[in-house]
Amino acid sequence: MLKRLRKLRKLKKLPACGQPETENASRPPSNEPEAEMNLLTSLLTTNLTVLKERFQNSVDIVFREFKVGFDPNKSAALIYIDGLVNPESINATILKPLMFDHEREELWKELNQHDLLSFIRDYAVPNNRVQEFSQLQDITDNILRGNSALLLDGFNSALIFDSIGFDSRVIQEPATESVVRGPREGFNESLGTNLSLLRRKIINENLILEQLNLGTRTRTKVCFAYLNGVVNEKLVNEVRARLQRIDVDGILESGYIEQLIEDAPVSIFPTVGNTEKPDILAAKLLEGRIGILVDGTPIALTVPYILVEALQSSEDYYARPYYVTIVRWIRIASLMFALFLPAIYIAIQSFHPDLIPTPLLVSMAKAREGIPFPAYVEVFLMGMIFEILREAGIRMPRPIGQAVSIVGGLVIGEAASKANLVSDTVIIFVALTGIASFVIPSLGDAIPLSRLFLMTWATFLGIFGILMGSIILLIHLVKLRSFGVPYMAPLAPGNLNDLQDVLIKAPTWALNTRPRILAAWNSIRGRSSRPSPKKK
Amino acid sequence: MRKGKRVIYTLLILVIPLLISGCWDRKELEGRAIVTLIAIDKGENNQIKFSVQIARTSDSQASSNGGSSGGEKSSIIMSGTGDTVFDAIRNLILKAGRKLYYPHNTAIILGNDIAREGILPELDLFNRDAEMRPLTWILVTPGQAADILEAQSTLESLSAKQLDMMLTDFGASSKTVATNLLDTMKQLAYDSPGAVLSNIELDPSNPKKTLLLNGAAVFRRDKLIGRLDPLETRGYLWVKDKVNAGIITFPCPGEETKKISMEIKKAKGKIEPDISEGKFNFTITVNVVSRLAEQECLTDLGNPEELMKLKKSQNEVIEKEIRNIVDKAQDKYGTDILGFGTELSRKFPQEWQKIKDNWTEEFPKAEVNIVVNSKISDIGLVKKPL
Repeated sequence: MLKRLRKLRKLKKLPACGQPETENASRPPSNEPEAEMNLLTSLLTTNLTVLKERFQNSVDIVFREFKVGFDPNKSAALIYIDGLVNPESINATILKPLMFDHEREELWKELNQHDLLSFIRDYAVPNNRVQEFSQLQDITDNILRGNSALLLDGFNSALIFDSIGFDSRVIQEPATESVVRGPREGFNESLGTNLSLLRRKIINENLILEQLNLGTRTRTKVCFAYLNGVVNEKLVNEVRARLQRIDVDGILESGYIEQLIEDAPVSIFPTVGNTEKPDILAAKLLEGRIGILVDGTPIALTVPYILVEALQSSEDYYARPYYVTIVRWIRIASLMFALFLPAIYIAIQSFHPDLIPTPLLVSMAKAREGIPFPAYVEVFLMGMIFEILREAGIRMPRPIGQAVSIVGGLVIGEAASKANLVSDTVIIFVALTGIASFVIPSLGDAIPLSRLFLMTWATFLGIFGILMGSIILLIHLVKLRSFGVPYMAPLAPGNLNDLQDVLIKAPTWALNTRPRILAAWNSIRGRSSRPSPKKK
Repeated sequence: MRKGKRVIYTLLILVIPLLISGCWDRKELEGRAIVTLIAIDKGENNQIKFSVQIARTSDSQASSNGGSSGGEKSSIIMSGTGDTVFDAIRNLILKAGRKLYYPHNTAIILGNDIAREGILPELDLFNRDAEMRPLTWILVTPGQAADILEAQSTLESLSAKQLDMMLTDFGASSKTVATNLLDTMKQLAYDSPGAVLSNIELDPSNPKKTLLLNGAAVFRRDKLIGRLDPLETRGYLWVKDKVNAGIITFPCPGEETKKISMEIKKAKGKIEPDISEGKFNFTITVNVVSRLAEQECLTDLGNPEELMKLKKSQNEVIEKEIRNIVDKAQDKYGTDILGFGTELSRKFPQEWQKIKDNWTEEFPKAEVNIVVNSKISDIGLVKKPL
């Protein structure tokens, strides 16, 4: 019985995104013992004391006490956090009308009402969003998010005005996922901006944004977006349930959420995708996926995520389809290079030199001459140096970049081979492998680890070992699921229709279906046919 | 329980191939010596002298002849002796240190003395061992095989590579044969009467030691009995249907001192055996398509009558080439190198059973007819010489 109730609660739709703090539904349950302590009283002074206690005299909390202009006997207090609010907005839309507005004063006398709070809400304050709360928790939450609370003496509820005004990064082209053709804008760290970017891409009331606050301490706003009528309802419920199950103290980046909801947390392959661009997120939503946006990070998550998405790029859909098909195959080849090249080098050179053409073998043998380490040590060594350079390139301050690339590219590569530490052949192989793995950035952690795995097999068993390693990898891959979707789809299980966006890129007029694996029940996207001039 | 079973099965699938897959052999490249040519000669005291040409991979290695032109030598030659070939190979390791690595071996060259005594005993190891490739060329040389290893390459850095390319392109002239280990074994299998292998020599016209493919070597059973010159070799190739290209030259009709070159474009040869009144008849039919490639005389050959003459001359030349080899096989060597017996056994299996033991006596008595049909496809881009 209890289980069922819980299930029902889970299936309950969450509040829409962008709404201010409302009922308790979205908030982690508070542990405070007495319910009465959580309510406002009618005495302003008591209320202020209680609130000051709650904020424990933090320096940035402002308690602006004043008298209401058209009823000078009434004391009032406006509470907000310095830095989170826009002071001009507070001055113009809240304080000025309350303190100076003489027109309203006449109206107030005319109406001769007693409910000053309602009057202020209905007539006096020209603020874009006003809400009324009496729960202390609601009021503090709103203050903490940058709204301001108006307390009136004699009223046991507060008015919350919208006054959010903090700085966020401007919308820029993301450093990752850069394109030649296509929108340049990327998400920034503000959830509101990101939601607006998404809304502008899909102008449809069926774009549903549900919100919840995650992190018992950080209370981070997390929003998940889907297109009603496209998305599989079960998938929405699953995502909602998994998000509600999260219980951590803080969410600082969407990576936290990714790791808390993914299907295969111990696999090296990612089962949650991410993007920094609204157009990519919109495309994923249109395919029937769900996007998860987190306040404070430009990286949005998309689920379900399958392997072939790593081989697709947003530009594939904007450019004409013919060269894109070649590029798809180049990506597949790069993936293979990045996975297998060092392993094959080790295997061939230590176990099967009979597979190399004689002239190449002789020149490889010449290159190997005088090198004290076996091939696998060479490759591991060079691979490690490559990873060190890469890591240094990411971490170091920009101005040092050139120095590192000189040391890395010229000194280490040239000198290592001159000093007979590694052979030239290995440098070529490692460099090619490294460059090839940059082609598929979204498998950034899976590729090096798989490569290491295959290299280990190759070291001990040659090509035979590579075969065994690949079989193990494949078994693992076909076993993986992302939110119920097979990870290797549409390759395994095969779906001929979906392959038109994997092995080739069909022209847009031919891509009339969504991936069947995501939306089998509703896969028609459109009915456009091949364009041609009007026939007479 | 089910999961446990699955894990066990997976482990079995992974482990069993490890156990059944044969030898495990990890050796770094610098621990191997890449053998590019093998030469087998008769050594002292009836021993086998086994020599190898090894690709030179480091400047610090001692150099020997056989390098490219210029000071830098690209190969090293080592040799060892032993009672058998394998014994010699192992004795060689005592000198080499590195593991000699044979899969990249291009050719096995057999010295004259060894070839005269029979080549099957020497080739047994190469058939048996997994490391040798059946596509290795088998060549015979009139002198010491080890001398061939010393030959200098002209265009390639390794003489072995050059030899390989020479043999691969033998069809351009059709004046020599190219036989690899597999072909050789096919020729020698099942008590065959003989074989024809390629013949390699040092070019006598070049003071530097360079290679020359010169005709072919004839074997009775597995013993060397003689050699064919290039044109006799082509006669052999016509019969064996192995001519793909090549140039036929004969005097110009009307102007006997000048010559004409015909380029063979397509050729098809076959042997048809027949038995009449207890006698064996063989008809060798060769169909040739060729083109007029070059003429030294100034006669206008581009008209049907002249072309008919050309055709006739060409038929005669080819017939003569074939007749030469047939006569040589029947009279001089008395060995059925042309494979008449095989054809006979295919068409008349019962008669073959009766005759097969006496075939060596019967073969020289067989009557051989030669039919050559020529077709001239074109005369090139000019109609008559300017």
